[in-house]
Amino acid sequence: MEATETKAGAEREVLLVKEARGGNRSAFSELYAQYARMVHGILLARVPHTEVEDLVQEVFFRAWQQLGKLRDPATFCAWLAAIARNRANDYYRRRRDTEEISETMAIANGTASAAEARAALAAIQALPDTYRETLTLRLVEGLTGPEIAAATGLTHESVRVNLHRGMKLLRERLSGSANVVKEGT
Amino acid sequence: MEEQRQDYLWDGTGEPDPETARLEQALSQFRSKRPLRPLPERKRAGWRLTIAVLAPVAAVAAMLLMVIYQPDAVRRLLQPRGDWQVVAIAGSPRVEGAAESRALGPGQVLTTDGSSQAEIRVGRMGRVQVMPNSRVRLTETRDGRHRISLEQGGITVRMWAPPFDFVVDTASASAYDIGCAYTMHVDKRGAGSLSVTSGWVEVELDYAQVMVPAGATTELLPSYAPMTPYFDDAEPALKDALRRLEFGAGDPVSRAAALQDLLVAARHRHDAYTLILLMRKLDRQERALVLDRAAELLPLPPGVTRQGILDNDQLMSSLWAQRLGLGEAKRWWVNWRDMF
Repeated sequence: MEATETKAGAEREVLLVKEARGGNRSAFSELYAQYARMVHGILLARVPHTEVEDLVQEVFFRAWQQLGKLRDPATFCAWLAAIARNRANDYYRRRRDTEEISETMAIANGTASAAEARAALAAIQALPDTYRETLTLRLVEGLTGPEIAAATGLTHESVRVNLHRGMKLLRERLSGSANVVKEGT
Repeated sequence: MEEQRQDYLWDGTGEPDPETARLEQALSQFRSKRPLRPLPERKRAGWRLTIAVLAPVAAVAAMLLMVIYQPDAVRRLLQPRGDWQVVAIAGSPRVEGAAESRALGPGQVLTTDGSSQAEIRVGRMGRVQVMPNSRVRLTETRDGRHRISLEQGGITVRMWAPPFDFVVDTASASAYDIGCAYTMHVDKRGAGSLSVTSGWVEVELDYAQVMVPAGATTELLPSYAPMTPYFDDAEPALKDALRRLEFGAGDPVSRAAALQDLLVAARHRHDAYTLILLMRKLDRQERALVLDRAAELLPLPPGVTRQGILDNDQLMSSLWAQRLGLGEAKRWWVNWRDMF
């Protein structure tokens, strides 16, 4: 039953991509609704959160313009994820220095809970590549493990391992930073 | 308990431990919230539609003219496809090291030394002049996809072909022909420039692309997005500031100085094209500065708002740039003689 639903979902997605490729904006909007969280998560794992919303729009505009180049509609998800990663990598390469400053200022200026959230996000962003994207998609965007596997192309087992080890590492780092804060206050 | 936490992490079933729940609650504020903004028009789709409608008409008209006035041309037009013809313009250009070879096949390399030049005839599509001390590889040729790789040196391209059918790859970026003529130089690393003399060229590296109109130049550097194009009569200070801004170290102080110099040096009305394209690469605060200067050079048209530009609305940016009257890609069907 689950396999049937998955197959039907994949077929519908291919149909949407073909429609969008032909210029159907409603179809593309459906694809946006389906993948905005994934793109947002991929970007948020890599770039300052204040820039992510703009970059999400850029990624989808880019996908809209370039959809004609996508040979196999069934690979839309991986193709879109690649555009998002490329966009994030380029942004980070160019803006690293200034954004580090703005992030620090943002934490300092926010409320206590906002600061905690930003500290948690910063800790995720500082994790190794293997874990930060998976954890962002799970903890921020609310995707389940199977959804993350579908979005990233990783196996279920790899995602499960990344979630488990990533969480462990995140806890350790947050615990460490909390101690630093306590010692400093 | 540990098993329950793992299940929750995996598929959301079971109860999360308090720490995970707290993290999720705190981080939820970063979730995606914004709906998709109105999509811009697709330039490529428009082109393809135009081509689909006009190409058969243009082809029939051209064939009639050629049958009457150019019977030899018709014969050449109908030659079977295959290797590309190479003509020596000066000296002894070599294909795969052989000076006598006059055909360039897939995978083969054409080289010129300091005293030789060659012309590659790309079937019915156009011609590529290869300058001295250059190295060009034919990487692919089949219906709708013709690619060469400029590994070193310079070429002048004149194309009569549907947009995006002919591509020049370099180590730093790829140039997509949109019915145009242009000159390109790169060194072994891929550093160099591309100057357009007719029509438009799209220069692209991964996601990053710039549209270069006639009379403008983009500069290339390995691992960097193609530089925002500038018009060839732009102030030298503008070109220098662009280089520092886009290829420089990127520290905030030198970046701010480069941006300031750029804004002072932008004096011509069409420098606004450079500024409008540049805004896509800047953060919001920088965009605001550039927007003010660009709007002095080229006022915002009706329907284009300051807020929209600050929000990086690509459709509005496009409408604004269109005020310069740079035109669409060249009317390639007018230049059917380029086929010969």
